[in-house]
Amino acid sequence: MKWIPSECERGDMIRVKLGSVYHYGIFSSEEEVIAFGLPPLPQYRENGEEIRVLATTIDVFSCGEIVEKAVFDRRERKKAFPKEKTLSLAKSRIGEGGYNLIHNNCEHFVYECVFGVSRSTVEEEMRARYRSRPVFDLYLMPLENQLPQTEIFPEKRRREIESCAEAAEKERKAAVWRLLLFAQKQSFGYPEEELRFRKSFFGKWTCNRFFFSLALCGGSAAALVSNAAAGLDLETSEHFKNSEKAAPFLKSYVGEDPESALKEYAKRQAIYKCSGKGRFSPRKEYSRAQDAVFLQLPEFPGLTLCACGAHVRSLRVFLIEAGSQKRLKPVIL
Amino acid sequence: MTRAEIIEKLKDILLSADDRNRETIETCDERSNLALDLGFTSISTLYMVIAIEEVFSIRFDNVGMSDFETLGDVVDYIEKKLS
Repeated sequence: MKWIPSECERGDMIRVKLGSVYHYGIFSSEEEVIAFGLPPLPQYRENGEEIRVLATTIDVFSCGEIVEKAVFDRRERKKAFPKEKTLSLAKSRIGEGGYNLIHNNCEHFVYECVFGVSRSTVEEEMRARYRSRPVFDLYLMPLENQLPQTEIFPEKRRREIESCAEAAEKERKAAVWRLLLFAQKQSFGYPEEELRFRKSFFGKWTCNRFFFSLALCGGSAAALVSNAAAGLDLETSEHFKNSEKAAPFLKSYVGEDPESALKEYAKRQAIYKCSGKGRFSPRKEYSRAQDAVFLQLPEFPGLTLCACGAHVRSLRVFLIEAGSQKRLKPVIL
Repeated sequence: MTRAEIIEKLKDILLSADDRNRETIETCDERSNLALDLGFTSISTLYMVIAIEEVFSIRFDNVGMSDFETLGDVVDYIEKKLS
């Protein structure tokens, strides 16, 4: 659909821009435009009367602004009612109330008259804009304070966890996966049936609807969910010193204090997890360091946390305790 | 849900609408005027209302652009809808 300033004909779908919003109507003549309410300007809203479908003149409708008419593409032309039917539908609704700024406004009204379907492109755009906002949510949970023992999905992951030989390891893996499912529900709210998880050749689990990164360290589990690639690493000095994976890195990282070595290692892990490619190589310098931040949380003393991702500026941190969540204010280093 | 929790979620919504105004949004409170303090326009009101529906799983009755003067008015409305 295109909108062009042009001569209007009977039954045309028209609109006028008033400030930052559009007002819509069905054109009948210069003396008669059918619209759901008068233009959304203060002078028409002061009397407190209920907004109804009404007939007004083009001058009142347009408030002196340029009137545009809708020009349909071939598919829309097929779906649109004949113009006389549009006009008679619009006229038959004069006096009708039930206006709702979001769910039943002047745009819904004209779409119903023209296509027989109630919709508002503004509402759709706003909803889409909100749903695509940058999300970078980190959920942290002490392992002794687990979420309810809900069923783990997908089945492949559940079987993988169940096949762990060591009971403690099995429990930790189940806990962090449950945390991930909880996190997605809180941050995105996708229904279970829309989610497809798969495991890559290098063993990394991914999801079709969002990006995530999981970490387990000491007594803590963390799940980072985002709508752009994201990576996360948790380290404690104890874990770092005894980690087999970190040993080659520690050997090569000389001349710096242990804390900066730990931070560098955590950063490389987070960036690697964010890239989602290949196998982790602790000696390799990864790019995207500009998207990595270190966090300090008073609730988790001794824990070094590094998160990486394009939406890192939108970071929110939540502590999960007894199944409920509490917002934390991290110190970003 | 407490009023403080509602405000936290509202601030997230406001930040997702206007990240450049971060400092003002993070320090705003119930008395903050939507138009004067937070620079709300009719479009940002519409965005906020739709985002509130998404976040709080509520459906707005007919609300006008001028129904909410302060952030506290929005919190009152959400609280009423959630109760």
